[in-house]
Amino acid sequence: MIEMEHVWKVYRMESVEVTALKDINLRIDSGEYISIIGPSGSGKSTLMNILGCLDKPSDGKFILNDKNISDYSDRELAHIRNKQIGFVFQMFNLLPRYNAIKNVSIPLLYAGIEGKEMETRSKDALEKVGLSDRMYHRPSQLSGGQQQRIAIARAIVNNPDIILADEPTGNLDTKSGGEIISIFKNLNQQMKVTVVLITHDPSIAQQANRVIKILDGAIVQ
Amino acid sequence: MNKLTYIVTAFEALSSNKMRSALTMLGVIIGVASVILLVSMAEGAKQYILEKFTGLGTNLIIIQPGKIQTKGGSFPVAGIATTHKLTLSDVKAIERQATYVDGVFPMILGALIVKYHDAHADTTVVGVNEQFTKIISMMPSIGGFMTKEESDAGRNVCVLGYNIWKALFADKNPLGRIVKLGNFYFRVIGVMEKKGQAVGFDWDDLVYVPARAAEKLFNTDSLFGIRAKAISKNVINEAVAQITQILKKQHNNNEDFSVVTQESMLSTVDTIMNMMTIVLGGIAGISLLVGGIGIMNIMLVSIKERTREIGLRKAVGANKQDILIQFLIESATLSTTGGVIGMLIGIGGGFIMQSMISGFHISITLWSILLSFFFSAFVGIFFGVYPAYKAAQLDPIESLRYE
Repeated sequence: MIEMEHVWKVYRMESVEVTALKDINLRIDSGEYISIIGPSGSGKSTLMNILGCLDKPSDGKFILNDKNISDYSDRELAHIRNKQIGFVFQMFNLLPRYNAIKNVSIPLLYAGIEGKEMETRSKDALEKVGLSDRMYHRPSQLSGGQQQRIAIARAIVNNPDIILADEPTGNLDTKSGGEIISIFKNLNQQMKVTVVLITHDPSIAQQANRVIKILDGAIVQ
Repeated sequence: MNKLTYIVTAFEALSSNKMRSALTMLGVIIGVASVILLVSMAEGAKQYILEKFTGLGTNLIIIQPGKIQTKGGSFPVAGIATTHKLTLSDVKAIERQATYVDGVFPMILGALIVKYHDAHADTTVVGVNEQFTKIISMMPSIGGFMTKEESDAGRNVCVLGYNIWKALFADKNPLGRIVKLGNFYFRVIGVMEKKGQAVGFDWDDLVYVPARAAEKLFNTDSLFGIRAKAISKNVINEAVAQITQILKKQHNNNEDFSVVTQESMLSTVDTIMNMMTIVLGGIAGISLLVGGIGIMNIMLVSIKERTREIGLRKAVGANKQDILIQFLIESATLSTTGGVIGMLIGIGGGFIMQSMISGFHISITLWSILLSFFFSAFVGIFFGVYPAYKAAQLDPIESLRYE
């Protein structure tokens, strides 16, 4: 469960203050499938960075699974990202020199899971996204949709509570994009993972249980 | 991540850009190879010189004409022409009066051609006395050395060096044969055992004659030098004092000669050679340092290129320390792999040079291998710290956005 109470994010660029988030109050229950929609520059990426523990709020409380993590250290945040959050990016961010299974296993390295268990869990994750026949391919040998599926496998390999997807279909054609969205739906329904999907595409946003609209750093709906 | 995983990860990253990694390592390879090679050469030269010196016999005292200045003045050169000279009467005086001295012989040197029938050879004739074999650890392998009677009377007898015997007589028995040295005829009474090269000359190219005969041969009464042997190591300083006193009296209280012990010469040689080792090792060490800077350079480039990878790793749970260690291990892997290759090249190159160039000696010391290996590992870590620190400090959000 995620709770945000009066969360502000203010950047100081030289002498100018830029307010990216204004008094955000948000509650996402476990197992929800929500989408966050808004134009670029609306603050949705900042919101996602705070949800993903990549950034800390300037003010306010951010409670993740009953723990206020607003003042956690970098090291503790890294641990939470590793255990509880799975990221899916628009640009996939796969390592080109690694094959699919090695790419998927990267989060396990930082969880201290190695050897046989690492291999089994990575294979399981690839199976869940329907890529068990491409385990030893490198990203350059795969299509965009397949690459994004590797990235999803990487996001779920450590059994996170939340999947944070930032424009996951932004670099894909409609057909592969649709496949990716249905994978998220499946993960949400079968594994009860909370899915938070950031997009500016209303047709994708509408498929979620709940849509949060953000504009000029504030939730408008 | 456990240690092995870090190393495997480093190897994967480095082997994904093989050419670059190889070129980066080249700096360290050259550095380590040259440290090992140069230090081995210097050590080899030192041991060679020390070995040849100690091969001259122990407790040796060297007396040369001319005073060696210990403070200021020009660099002393043994045997340089001086107004004051050493003569055979000085040798007799030492022989008679010095109680701490076990033996003493004069040296008169000159280059000549030695002939036997049609065969001839270039040689250095050395005029000595019968005590030569007692003081210098060398014995004739055929026949005998000169007797005291032959020496005192200055008879025309000679003992051939090994190479001279081979050149004039092939393998035939030379004893009793007459050879021609300059304008004089000498009877061969022996052949010296094979000794090989010494500092600056070859023992086996010498011909030994009585000093009095050499005086006639070269028409001179001044000696190249005198060599004496102390009774024991414990009284070597007393022997030096005694010889100095005796010769001063002989020379009207003028100290126009120098008396030094082999030990003091050896320690000078040792000091000089150690300095040479340090200087050569230091020069090679600089190239290792340059190799280290090359590693830092490439690591900085690599981190710039892999900004998104660093961002991704941080997003999925890597903390600063994980990133720092990852890149430190990469640079240490570069430098130690280069170090091992350089070590093999240095050792191999040394042996190849030794086998191809005659008279070239190397002595591969464990310390030079360990030093250069650990120095290369240290260089990799030292020059890896800054890039790795930079990588660890990267902000994950900006790194993921980096194009």
